[in-house]
Amino acid sequence: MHDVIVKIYVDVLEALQHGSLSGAVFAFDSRSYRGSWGLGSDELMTVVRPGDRISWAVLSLECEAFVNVREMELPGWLAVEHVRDAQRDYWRATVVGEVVTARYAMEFEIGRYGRRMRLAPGFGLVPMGSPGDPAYTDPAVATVSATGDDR
Amino acid sequence: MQYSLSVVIAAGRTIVDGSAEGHVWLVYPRDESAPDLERVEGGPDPALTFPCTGVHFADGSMADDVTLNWMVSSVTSIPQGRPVPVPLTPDQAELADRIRELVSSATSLQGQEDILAASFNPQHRPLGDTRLPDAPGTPRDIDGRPITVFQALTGAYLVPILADITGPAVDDGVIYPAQYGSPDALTEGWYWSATVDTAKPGIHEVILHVDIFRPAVRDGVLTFRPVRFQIPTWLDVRAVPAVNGFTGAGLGYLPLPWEAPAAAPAAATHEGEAHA
Repeated sequence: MHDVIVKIYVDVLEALQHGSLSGAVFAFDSRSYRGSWGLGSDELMTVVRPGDRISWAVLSLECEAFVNVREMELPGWLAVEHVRDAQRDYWRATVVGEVVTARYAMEFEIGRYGRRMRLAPGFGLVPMGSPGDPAYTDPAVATVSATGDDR
Repeated sequence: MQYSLSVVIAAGRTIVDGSAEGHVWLVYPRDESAPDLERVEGGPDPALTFPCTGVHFADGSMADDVTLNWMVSSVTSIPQGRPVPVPLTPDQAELADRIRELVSSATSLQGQEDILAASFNPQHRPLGDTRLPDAPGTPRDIDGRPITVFQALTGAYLVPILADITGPAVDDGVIYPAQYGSPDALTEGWYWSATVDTAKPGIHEVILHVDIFRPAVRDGVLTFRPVRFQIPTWLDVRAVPAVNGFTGAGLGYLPLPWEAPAAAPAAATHEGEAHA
């Protein structure tokens, strides 16, 4: 089991001022070295594979402002759990099926009154071996070198 | 006005590559009025340039303070102080192959011989699955799983620490940075802040000195040592004229319309109130 972290920074003040998450979400993940793209934007595409456990962490640009994830709409090949106890409150999902490129939606609670805002289609999940993957090799292409430099 | 600058670092990759170049992002509220900078060879990186807008009086002098607050984090660090600590043991299995190459050459990772001697056992398990002996002090993640040496090799779950701020922006008196302590649990009490002299427009370099933690093994016990990286960033300082927020025009008294005060109501009575 390998862990993948998706870290989402939300500009809560911007979102409350304009009533939407547009231009207020900046996401990163820990798979950039395997081809994840869109880091720093609201259209992050994360490279995942079967067996991965994905955890989402969200925080505000302003440390006094509140933001949390309320709902997640994830594809069916993920086993999703909302971990909540006295010390933790976060979402995580395990890849149990074949990875098919998909976008997923998230609903946030923004600000002290927990205003609901939805980010859709938002982020996505892609299988390993995507063209952005440095280790990408296409067995159908005979000229690909062993190190996968040609892509 | 205060601006928050979030500096996001891919800490694991920084440790492996020995440099933060290409592994740093600047996250801040979008300023639509700030013009986009073009990438110039040898010039500041627009992606690491923060547009810092202040206000000035008609004579060009600074009208109000601008304060910057830096919040440094890594992609995999645990958000501090919030009820969402996650099991941020990052996936490093694919890095195992790269690490093995680097370890065999023993040139890209300095001072890693002690780690190799203590943990790398090619006859048994791949580096990625190597675990430290279950001695007292074995570090564990939020779920109680032992943190493997490989995961610890990049210290990726620890928060990078901003240790100093230097550079031409400081030398030229554009920013006056200092480290402040506060009872704010979200930042564990320490953060860097700076006031900006927005009467000095232009692009000024700000060098962030960040400590990223790397594991070391001493007598079978895993500890973490900070490795300092210098991250060049830039401030694009500009100032706009100070205007009256109500009228949008120049400063001065508010142009309120004058009204005669309303006449006292003659027939109204006040319950329970004694009149002299």
